[in-house]
Amino acid sequence: MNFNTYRNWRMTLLVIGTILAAVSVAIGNAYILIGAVAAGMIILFILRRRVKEVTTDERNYAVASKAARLTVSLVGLGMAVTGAILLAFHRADLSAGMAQVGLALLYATCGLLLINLSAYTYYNRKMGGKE
Amino acid sequence: MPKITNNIRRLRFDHQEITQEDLAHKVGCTRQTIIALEQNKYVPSIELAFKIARAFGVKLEEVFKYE
Repeated sequence: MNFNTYRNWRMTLLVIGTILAAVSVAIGNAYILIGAVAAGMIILFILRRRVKEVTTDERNYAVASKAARLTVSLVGLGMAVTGAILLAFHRADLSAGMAQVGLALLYATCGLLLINLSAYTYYNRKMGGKE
Repeated sequence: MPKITNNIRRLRFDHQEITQEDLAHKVGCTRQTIIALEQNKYVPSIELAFKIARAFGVKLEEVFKYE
């Protein structure tokens, strides 16, 4: 199987999955959605293994690395600023609910940065950084 | 600013006009990477650079230039 055929199958499965998700929400049955996602993942995994040509190489990893770095920076900054603004609302006694959302955002930002730091430390050591 | 350029496009035509797809298959990368290399938009790893030179049967310096 070549990559274009795989891509067509992936798109078809995505459309079927979306339809099943809509049906699942409409009739209020979560099992349909879970089953569809699980079946889709298994089928995609099997199809991917049948693709003979190279689909991912070092350039893709370089692009993904840059994209991930930018995403962490933007999401981290956005969440931190939004959280701080929502906390400021609380200090102005405008809304207590907003403060809780703000705190949740700030904790999530800390979690994101901790995961990023852990991953960086792991790969830095793996690639010959500080022991 | 120093820049790494390459002669991949010329070398492809010197070697029975091998296609980008065939070269990508030979060196184990995607066609998009070969396109990016030919347009000097991507600098390959040392490993890929050696594989490309080996695919053409020439020395590394004949494929890549550091200007």
